[in-house]
Amino acid sequence: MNSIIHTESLSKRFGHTDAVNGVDLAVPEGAIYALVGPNGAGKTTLIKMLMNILRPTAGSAQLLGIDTRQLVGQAFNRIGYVSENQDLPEGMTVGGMLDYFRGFYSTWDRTLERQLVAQFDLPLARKLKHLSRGMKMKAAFASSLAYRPKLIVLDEPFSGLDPLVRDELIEGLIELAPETTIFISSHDLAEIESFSSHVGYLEQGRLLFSEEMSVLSGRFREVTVTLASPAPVPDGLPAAWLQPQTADCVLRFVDSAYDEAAAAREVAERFPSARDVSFDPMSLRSIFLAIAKSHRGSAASQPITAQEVEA
Amino acid sequence: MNQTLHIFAKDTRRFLPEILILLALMAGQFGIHTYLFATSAQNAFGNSDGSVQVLTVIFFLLSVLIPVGWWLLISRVVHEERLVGDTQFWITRPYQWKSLLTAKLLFVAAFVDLTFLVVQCSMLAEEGFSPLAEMHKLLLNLLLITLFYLLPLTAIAAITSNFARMTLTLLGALLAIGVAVAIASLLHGPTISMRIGNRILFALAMAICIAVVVIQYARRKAWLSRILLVSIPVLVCVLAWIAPDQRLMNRIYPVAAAGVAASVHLSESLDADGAPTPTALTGTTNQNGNEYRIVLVPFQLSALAPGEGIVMEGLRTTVEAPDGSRWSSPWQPFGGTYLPGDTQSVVNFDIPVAVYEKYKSLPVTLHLDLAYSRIQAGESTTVPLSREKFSIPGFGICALRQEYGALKCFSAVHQPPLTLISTNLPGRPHAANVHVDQGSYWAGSIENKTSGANIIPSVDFSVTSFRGADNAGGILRLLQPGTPITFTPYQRIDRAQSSLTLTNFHLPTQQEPQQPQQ
Repeated sequence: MNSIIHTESLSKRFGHTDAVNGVDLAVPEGAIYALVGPNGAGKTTLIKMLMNILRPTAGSAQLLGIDTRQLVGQAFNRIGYVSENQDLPEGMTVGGMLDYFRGFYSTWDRTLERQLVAQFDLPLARKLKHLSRGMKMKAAFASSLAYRPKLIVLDEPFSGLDPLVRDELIEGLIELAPETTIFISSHDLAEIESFSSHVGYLEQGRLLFSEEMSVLSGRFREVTVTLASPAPVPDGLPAAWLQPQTADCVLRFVDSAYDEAAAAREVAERFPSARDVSFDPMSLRSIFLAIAKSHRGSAASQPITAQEVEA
Repeated sequence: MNQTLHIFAKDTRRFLPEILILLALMAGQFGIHTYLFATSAQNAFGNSDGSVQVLTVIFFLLSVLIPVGWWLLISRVVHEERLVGDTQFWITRPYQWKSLLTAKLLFVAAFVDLTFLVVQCSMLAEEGFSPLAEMHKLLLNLLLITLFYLLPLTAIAAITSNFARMTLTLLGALLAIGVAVAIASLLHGPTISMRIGNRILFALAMAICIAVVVIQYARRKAWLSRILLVSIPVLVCVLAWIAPDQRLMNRIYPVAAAGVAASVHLSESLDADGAPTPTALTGTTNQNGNEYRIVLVPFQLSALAPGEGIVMEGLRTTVEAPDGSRWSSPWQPFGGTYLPGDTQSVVNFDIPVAVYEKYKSLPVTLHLDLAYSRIQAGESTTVPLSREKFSIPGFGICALRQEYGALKCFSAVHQPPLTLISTNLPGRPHAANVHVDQGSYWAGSIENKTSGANIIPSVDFSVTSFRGADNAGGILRLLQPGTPITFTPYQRIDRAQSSLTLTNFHLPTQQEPQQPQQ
């Protein structure tokens, strides 16, 4: 599958701080890629480099096969970008802005524009500066979707929006999803879990992993082992077993390299006296909390891949 | 081009209120100018009625408000797609930077330059000039306004994000340039070669402003652009520091080659008995905190060809003592216009008090270098004096105002070319096209084409006295309509230097003010 976004050792340094550190990323065509991570992880910096708003300190990136350093002018005909930090032409009305932007795009779809205006209930005659934050974001979405871009890059688009607006925007996105690639950053995991096909986790500028959502969900399980008697956390547990903790006779941990047969065998070997063992699927939020907590406090975060964990 | 027009149309719609306010200001200026010109009240002879005085003040205010309006409009249109920061909506849209820049330039050209030109043409037409005939001057003036004012404003707007920051940056830039000019003045003194240096500096500054605008639109490298703009005041100081005063002057005002006679011969001034005309101390002056004595030295000049003249432009003084020590002044401004028949003149040069005290009791060698332009008479125009407006081709429009004892003249856009106005004074023979001691007046400048940018489309001046005449009673009151008056334009042929060396010269010790004999 072709990569719509491809980065190699992409890095950005501000003074002595590595905002983004050696990120290798490949987003396949047609994916809905969620870049997640805590605040300050480097998501916005990474996206600004992808959009040629910031220049990388090292490494390279390509969007739609174009080196991001060359990403200017007509190249944006095929790329939509919406960011919570981006300004809008506040002095224009919503209709005026759409009229104005229409002139820049040969692929602008008037029907889709009208559909989005109706779907988002946009007041065409009102100036953008008089709109609420949610309405501004809807206007930004409409102006970035109406030309059917090949790639839509969204930087924290739902931040601070009420659930209704959020759902409306997600609905608008999903309708376009079959014909486009969506790259979305967020620190709100619940909102993207429902519709993302791929996910990457960025922390302290490093991409800890990047994979398909189904693969990620498949390899994480919350394991609960009920022991015969109370016992401390045993030493020498596999590295893939994150956050082991005990409470009375119960041992809990997160298996980050879950394989049904191998996991059952491993648990049985290590805890022969276990009275009960359960392997429960985890929400994306629980997975990231487990990862974040297990990495927090370590001197330097290192990327984790399923292969490394298994090894 | 489509994108350019698309952005231009958007800006025009967006800033229509600002454009209309600016047009109203300009229309107001034109209306008041028309009224004031019709009543001739702007002549400032001091007898205007109250309403005219109020209108004159409003006219002045509008002349200030209009450039402020340009400043605001440039800020609005450039900051609409601001070039500083990383959150602008347009940087992730398919904008072509060339189209964006062209659209902004087109906007300024249409709503600043073009409207200004139209109003200037209208005002000139109202004054009796043909705007078409004066178009080259109008366009040159427009170019200077664009380079002096609009371009720096655009460059500053390109490195700032809003009007407030632009205003602060502009004030900072003016302060920095003021400080740099003061430092340059201390480094280099009041030397006329700095005028040439200023032209080089102006050209460099304009090139930097253009580079800043292009860099910002093409690359948005604000830090680089800011460094470039900051380099302008630094350049002022550096140029003042390194400017090769004498070499620059020798290049601009060549010294006659060895064996070739200078076009003007200078010699020591002698009285009727053949004795040197006395020199004198005429006072003291203070420059940059240093005190100077002013020394007056008469001299004679000759070898002016018929139909030619000279305009003095610079003076350099060297004093050399018998022990070989010497003091030289920088090239300093020195004025005066001479025609064949003018033989006597004086120079006033400034010498630091310490140098003066050191040499005043010694026989020294005084060396005077004079830089001048040779001028040649063009075709004269003789017309009868009239109370009605009369036009002098290439000069302007004049009218005799006997009630004010003046000949009032208007020239389109700039000072007129250097022109000798001569007339037949009552009881004296008329002398046309040749210089006479009486009945002549120098108007205009040989530098008229580079006299700077003007907001008002015409320059007015009054001839109230004549050279050599007894003007105490107001000679122009005595002139009758119908008296022939001759306008002889002069233009520069070339520039040159001549020198005068006076040996065994004693710096004067007596303060005896002398009247210049020219």
